[in-house]
Amino acid sequence: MSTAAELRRLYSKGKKRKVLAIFALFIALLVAIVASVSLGAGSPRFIEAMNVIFSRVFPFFNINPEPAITQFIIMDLRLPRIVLAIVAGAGLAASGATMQGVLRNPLVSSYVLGISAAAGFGAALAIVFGISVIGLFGGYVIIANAFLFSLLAMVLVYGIARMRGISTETVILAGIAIGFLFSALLSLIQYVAPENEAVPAVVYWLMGSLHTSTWTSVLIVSPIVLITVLLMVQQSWNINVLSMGEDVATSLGVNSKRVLGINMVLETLATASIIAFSGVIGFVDLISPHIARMLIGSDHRFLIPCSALTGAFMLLCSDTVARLVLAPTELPVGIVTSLLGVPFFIYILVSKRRQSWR
Amino acid sequence: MEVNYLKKTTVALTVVLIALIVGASVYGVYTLYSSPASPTPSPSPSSTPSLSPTPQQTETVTVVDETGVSVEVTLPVTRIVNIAPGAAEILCAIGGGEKIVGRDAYSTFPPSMSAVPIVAESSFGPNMEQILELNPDLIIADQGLSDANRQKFEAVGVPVIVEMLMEPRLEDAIRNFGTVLGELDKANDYINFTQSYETLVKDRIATLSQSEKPTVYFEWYQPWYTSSLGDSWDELIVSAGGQNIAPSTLNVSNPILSPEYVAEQSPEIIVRMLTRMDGEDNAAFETLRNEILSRTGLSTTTAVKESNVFIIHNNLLVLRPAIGLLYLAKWFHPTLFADIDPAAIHVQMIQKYFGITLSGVFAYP
Repeated sequence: MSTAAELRRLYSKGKKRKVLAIFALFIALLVAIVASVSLGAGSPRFIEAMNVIFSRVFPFFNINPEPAITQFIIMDLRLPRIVLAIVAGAGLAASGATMQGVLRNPLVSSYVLGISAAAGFGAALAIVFGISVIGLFGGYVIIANAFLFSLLAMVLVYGIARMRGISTETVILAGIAIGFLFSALLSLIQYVAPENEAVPAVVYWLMGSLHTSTWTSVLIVSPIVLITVLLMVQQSWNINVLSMGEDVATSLGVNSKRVLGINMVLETLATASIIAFSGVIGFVDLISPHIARMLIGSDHRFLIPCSALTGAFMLLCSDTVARLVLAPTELPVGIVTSLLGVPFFIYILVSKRRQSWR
Repeated sequence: MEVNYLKKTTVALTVVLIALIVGASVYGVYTLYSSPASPTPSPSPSSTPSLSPTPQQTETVTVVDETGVSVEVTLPVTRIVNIAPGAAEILCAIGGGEKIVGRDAYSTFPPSMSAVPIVAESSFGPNMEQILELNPDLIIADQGLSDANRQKFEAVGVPVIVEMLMEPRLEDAIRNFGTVLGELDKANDYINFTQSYETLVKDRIATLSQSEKPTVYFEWYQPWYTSSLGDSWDELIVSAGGQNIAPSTLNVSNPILSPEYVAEQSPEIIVRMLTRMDGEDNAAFETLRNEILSRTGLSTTTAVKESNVFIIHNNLLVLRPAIGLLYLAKWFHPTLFADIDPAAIHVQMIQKYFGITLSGVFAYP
């Protein structure tokens, strides 16, 4: 057998494995969705939930309709929250995978790039002082502020990195610096907060939560995440080439600075729109890419979708647990993400023999 | 060349942006601290000095404050620094307003307080030097005061009373203030004012069965923030003849209720507390109410369907619980309290204890 044929066989075998892993993750996510829609502080369980959903999908089969309140709980309270958890988890994880690849650094997350701190600062401004960049009321002030400050952080990081000629090191260092700047400003706000209740509200926001999800938030976040993640997948060849080093990339005709810039914009748009609605949900964007990499390796064409699925699964499970543990009180989902994710991650880290990060 | 030019522009822009953010934050904090003081930068310095030199027979009283500390205070007290937001209102009501020589930034009622210099943001951030320079013979603070700062004051011989200015501690605090001011009669009168209305409400709802009491969802500060059974807000709801839908199992200090739980409980009445942060004008009340009336998670509740959504200023629940209680009782049982006009009683109260005509909105609608 010739070497070329042998290589092709090996490649397609690996490809099959990757597709299989993605399929398995997809099934796991489906199971999580069914479990999540069947559980909650309200009384509807599996049978009621399925009844409601099937009666919506097939209205003509609706023999025994559930009471209006059950339909409301499933359709307007649980489902938008589940969808938002999936979209947010997928978006955060895909962003994490992309940026870790582009910056060739396994520790990159929205924290490192200063986005979380900036979003937190924007939200705290709105929560504590009611100061907003645009004249809106209620929860929208917080959302708008968090989003705009995340974008501002990205602009600052990019601007600073450009001063020294944009490179992975300058971006990461600028991100850390901007992150510290906004953290300090955030602490300042919390320190001078005139209402005692404001501080717990800020802390709660910083721990992240999906309890205010509505179809409106889903409709706003989903298109942004969908488009940015698709564009990230489109970038995956470039990221693959870039991961072999900037010199190799340049010699293969890939403009590394341009790829970095494009991906920074995509990552920020996705992350900012998500955490503006959910609060800072940490860990998902850091860890999901690693779990995905351990499962299928570091070909970004597969890694980005696989990370997205892992992130969606992780965040959905965490949010379901957050809804249930203290029901009918809500627990911030950020706490659960780490508490559940860390042991799982360590297990994979210890048990897998494959070296996932070169 | 072009690259260089671009680079320079980005450098300049970035530096300007960072400077703007830092500048804006510092300015924001600065105005926050200084604005309440600005109307009268140099208050009349002659307000109290004649009182201190007169040597009188010294008498000491001991009061036990909220922290359980027995505080020994030498009478008469003539120079009080009050850094507990809310305490100023009580001190003024029982005849001690003249004696306040320094205050926190949030003690703005009664309006006469604007002439008193600000020496602390709140009990969290006292300006030690400014306070000691005022030579106070009593400092009143809330639990925000750190133990270390309290000890520093006590080390130089200034007694410190730490009080929580809300139920269930309110009456004890008022009585303690009355004792150290030598105005116990006035303090008791102020307490009796509240108690008379508490008794009135208690008597009228006594005959109600549990099913006649409406279910109430109480919200404060942010969407879904509620109060669990046994909290001070919960006690007010129960005293006013309502049933709090929050379950008693909540052992969280700021419980956030699950929207689907609220939907299923379908409360008959929703009460939202307004704080200073929401704004205090008519529009702020309306904005809060409209947000609740249009919030998806609440759309199926009886309260929203029947527009039984009420907004109340937190001062009425904290510092003037009698008025807050009357509003709640009237909202919960409109026919039972048809003859009661909480707004009018509020006006009377302010006229009686502070000699001023009340203005502003405190409950809506």
